[in-house]
Amino acid sequence: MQILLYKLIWIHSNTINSIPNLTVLHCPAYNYYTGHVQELCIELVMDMRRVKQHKDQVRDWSSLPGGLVEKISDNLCLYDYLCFSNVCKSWRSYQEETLQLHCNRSSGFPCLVMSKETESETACCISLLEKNKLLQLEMPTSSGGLFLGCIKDWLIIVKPFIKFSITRMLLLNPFTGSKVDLPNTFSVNSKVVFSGDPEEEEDEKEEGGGDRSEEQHEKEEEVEGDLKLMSLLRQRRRRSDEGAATKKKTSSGSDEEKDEQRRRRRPVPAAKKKSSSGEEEEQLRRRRAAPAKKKIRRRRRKRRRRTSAEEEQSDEEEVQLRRRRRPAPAKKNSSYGEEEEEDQTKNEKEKKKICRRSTTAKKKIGT
Amino acid sequence: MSTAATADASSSGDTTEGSVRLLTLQSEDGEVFEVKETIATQSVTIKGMVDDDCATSTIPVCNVTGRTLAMVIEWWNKHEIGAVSNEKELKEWESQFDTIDDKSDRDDVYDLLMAANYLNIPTLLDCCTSAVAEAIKGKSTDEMREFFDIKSDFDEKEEDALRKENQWAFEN
Repeated sequence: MQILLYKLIWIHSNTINSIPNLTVLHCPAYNYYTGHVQELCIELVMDMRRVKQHKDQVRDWSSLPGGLVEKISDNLCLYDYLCFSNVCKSWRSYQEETLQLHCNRSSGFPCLVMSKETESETACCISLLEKNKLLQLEMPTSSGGLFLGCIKDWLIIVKPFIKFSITRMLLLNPFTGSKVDLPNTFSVNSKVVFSGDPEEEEDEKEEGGGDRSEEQHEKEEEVEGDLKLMSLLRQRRRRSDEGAATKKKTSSGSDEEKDEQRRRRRPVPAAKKKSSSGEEEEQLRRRRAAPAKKKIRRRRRKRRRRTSAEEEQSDEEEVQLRRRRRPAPAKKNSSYGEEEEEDQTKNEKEKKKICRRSTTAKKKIGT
Repeated sequence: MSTAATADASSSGDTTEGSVRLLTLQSEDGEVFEVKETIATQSVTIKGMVDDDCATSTIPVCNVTGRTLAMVIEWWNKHEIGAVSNEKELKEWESQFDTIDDKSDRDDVYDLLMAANYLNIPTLLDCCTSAVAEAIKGKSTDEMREFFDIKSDFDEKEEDALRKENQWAFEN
């Protein structure tokens, strides 16, 4: 009996091209059946209607409430998150609010980065979180270099120039494209380590610490060789002398300088996301968010100030002692250093500025 | 995830249930469900109503169809304390939400998401959002658009800018 009814309704829906009206069921032909069957019939029709309604209903994922979009993106790793937020404009708008947060949760894609021996503009990455997915990272600056160490997003890259028997060292953030050139060295045989996050160092400079020279140097590294040590010491001394002056210059900066930097700066993709007003907000938020950290830093800085004077004295003595003891290499070094020194100071001023700019861009991408 | 739950849910709403209070929920399309108060209060929204003594008459659940509400009630029944003794069993039951490659499954998940959002059911919300995230993992933006049936509303220039922005990482 039920099958018969189904058939009837099916014929109806096919001929009328819709689900039969309830009134149809009250026609004499249907009344032939008992009341119970009629009820069943009505129920069936209701069921069919519901199914039809369910199918017809449009489900517009792009108009999903913001809270739900965020909840979904919370479960994604950074790479998927970026793809996800580019799906449509409304999802993109949530990204602007949540990107920083998302990055701070450090749910990025931990990668093994491998330096290639050949001169290649890309580096190979293996993402460990995503079933060893292979990614290619574009890093033109890293070509021909070796990765000797890393902290957070930063890599230490060493490029040996056998011809001149010197080694170029630089810090690179592959995600933002920002880089920091370090002074050339003669040989790097050992491991190179950071003692702090380059980003944080930059932060402190922005806060106006006059004693940044020491801090910046601390992130450098343990490198073998007296020459390296000496050039480091000399630079340290010079920088602490010039520290205050450089600071002023870099913060004001003539228009000419700015133009030149603009030309020099390589395009940083992440910078586009950021408006200038956003930068200030971001900084404010960061400062508010980490008052404890700052306190520690200040304390650290104070401690350093106290010791810096003593250090410098002993440093100078050490250098002089070494010069006396080993006249040959010292001379060689100083002649090389003197020529370069002026250029380096100029370059460094600019680099610091560039670096600071890219740092603000980097903040957007997060750590 | 079927309408069979409807019968299940309405039969559980037996009025002779002793001291347990029954709540009457009415879906958007007029279907009525009777649910034990202890179960329905898994929804923060309904709990608030009960606490404020607003749940005496039929509670209209707008924006949620009968079909979806039946699924939600099935979820409540499974997640009632003591309903499923075995944690593993519950996980197994939940795993049916994990595969949403089918369009109809996706529609169901969408409905459940909206219902869970409206009724504020944290457990269901978490389950659905992670299911969606799981489904789109490793997909490119275009594949995601296809998955969600969303047409890009960026113009060509914007599209280019987006592509450049994420240039630092592309699949091999």
